[in-house]
Amino acid sequence: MITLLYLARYALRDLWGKKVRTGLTILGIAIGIASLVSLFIVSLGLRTRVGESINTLLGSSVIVRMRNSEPISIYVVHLLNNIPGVKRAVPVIVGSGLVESNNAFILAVPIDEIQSFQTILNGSSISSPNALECLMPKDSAVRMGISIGSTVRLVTPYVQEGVSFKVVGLSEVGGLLQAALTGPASVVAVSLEQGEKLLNKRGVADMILIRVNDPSNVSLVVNAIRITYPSLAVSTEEDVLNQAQSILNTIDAVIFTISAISIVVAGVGTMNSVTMSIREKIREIGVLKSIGTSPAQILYIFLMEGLILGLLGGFTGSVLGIGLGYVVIKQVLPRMFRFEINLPFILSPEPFVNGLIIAIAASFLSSLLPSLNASRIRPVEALRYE
Amino acid sequence: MSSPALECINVSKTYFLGKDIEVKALRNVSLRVERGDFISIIGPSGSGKSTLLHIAGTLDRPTSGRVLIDGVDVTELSESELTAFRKNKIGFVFQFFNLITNLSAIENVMLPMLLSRRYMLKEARLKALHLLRLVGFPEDRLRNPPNRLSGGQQQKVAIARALANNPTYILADEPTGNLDVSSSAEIIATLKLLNNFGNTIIIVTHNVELARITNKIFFMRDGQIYEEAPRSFLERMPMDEAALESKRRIQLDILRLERENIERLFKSRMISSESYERALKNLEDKELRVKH
Repeated sequence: MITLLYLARYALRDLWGKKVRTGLTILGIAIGIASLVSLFIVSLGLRTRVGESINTLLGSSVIVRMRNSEPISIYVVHLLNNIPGVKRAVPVIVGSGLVESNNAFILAVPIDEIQSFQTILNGSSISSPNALECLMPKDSAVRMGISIGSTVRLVTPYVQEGVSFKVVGLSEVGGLLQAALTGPASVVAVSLEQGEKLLNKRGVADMILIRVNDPSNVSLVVNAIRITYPSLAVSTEEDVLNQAQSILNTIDAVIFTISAISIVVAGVGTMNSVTMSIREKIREIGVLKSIGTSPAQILYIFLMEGLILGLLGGFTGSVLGIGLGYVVIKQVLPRMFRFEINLPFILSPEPFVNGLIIAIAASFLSSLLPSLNASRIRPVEALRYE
Repeated sequence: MSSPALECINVSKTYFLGKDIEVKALRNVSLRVERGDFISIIGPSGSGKSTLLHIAGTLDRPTSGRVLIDGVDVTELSESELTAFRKNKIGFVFQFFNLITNLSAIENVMLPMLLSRRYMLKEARLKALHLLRLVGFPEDRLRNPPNRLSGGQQQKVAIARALANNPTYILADEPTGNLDVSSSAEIIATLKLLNNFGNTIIIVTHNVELARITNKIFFMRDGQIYEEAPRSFLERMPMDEAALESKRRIQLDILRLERENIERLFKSRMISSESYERALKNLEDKELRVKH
């Protein structure tokens, strides 16, 4: 035990003796780990936000679309209303357009259902189905200098000259529909009737939201719809979550491929550093062996160097990565695109611990080969080495 | 009863450089070194001195012939057995000192003791301190790293390190080859003193001055060894009686520490009673030599 501590101290002093190289190697590992940890935090935020949104939106509700993605006739809404267990079938129209020349999604629902899609922060909801009134996300409105009472021009492919709407309320950014239906874009809400005109969808809906009487009956209702109307695609909260999940998994795969490359680079850096260390010390390794240091002990010394580099690099990288993740979530993402992305910053031990473990594993693996070579150096040859 | 410290029997070593060129570094060399001997091997470069030294130090293996150290045939031992063997039986002193650069003077001396796992940290430090005193290393430099020591001081640390595990013999490869005249004289005096205290020392050198203080001189040429007639003269000790007396006391202290260590190891059953007896006998022999 004393011997191992003594040899570990040897490794530590060896690293301390060449501060610049040690520092640069640690920096290399830290950069790799920092990118991994920050991407992990962003991805965690993304997952959490999407999960929350879908949950609040759907709860025990069900979304119905046509299998071939065509619009659904409004007649179907009446039919669905007659299925036992259905409390209400709500037609929903979505489409893209411009608000004062900015890209936006237009969401049109019956006015008495608007509040279940959008949380109104300031102002009021739309007063009547035929009123030229709309709700805007608060952040977009602030950015465009729009306040309650202002008039905005909505332009769509069908109404190219545009229609003026009065902004009556400001909704929460990332309102309920965002993640599940339209992605992280600005959503302007209008009444179903105005939406039909703007998006040229008279008598049809893009999807139908079905509220059930009793949450425990969801699967009965879903089955009833599936059997009665085979051409309709029915998605429950779970289905939507799964869909979103598979998209997030793709994003994660990309993120972690990028991170894996940076970890490999860090590993090669460590390997280089340990190899150089050994090159310079060949003669000393010969001396150590001649005074009775065993191959296993030599292996231990240089693995220890790799581990110390990994530990320090991993720690620095994890701390930097958490900071970087914070900056990306709070400063970069909300400003990077034309629409806001607001993700929660979740501070958990997980990314930190993962970063540390990955750094240590990478540096251990990359110093294994050079250290094994060092342990096999024959003392006679090492002593002859100049 | 006691076996010689080192016995080489018909040792040959052939190197192959490429396919067809072979170099016969040693041809049927036989050498016997008794306990307490102080021998030197001299000869021109390329005569096979260093090869013999490496083989005697178990750093290299002979192509043919046998090597017995302390009565144990080491010719066929595995690499890890040889490591353990070297650690406990052989002390090395090199021309270029070869101290461990990351360790201080005293830590360099402690390292072999800690590697042997026979010593506790405190024991190792105390013994290292005594050994450094014995070789005349200045006590205010104990914590200096090697690059802040003079050549002579570094070589003293190397000698103390070689003595750390109470080896069967010390192998010194040109110990004064890289030193100025006065440092050389100090190192020569130290080696002589250590031999007077019972340490077996084998020196490889082409410094005739150094060879003259040894009890036996062997010449090497073309991989063969020739023994010169034993010297009748004994070099005068370049040290006064008072200094000698103080060194004697340090050596006795070291032997006492060694005895305490062996007793502790025996009590905690880390060594057999047989090796305990043998170690005690060795210590007693040495004590006798130091006292006379």
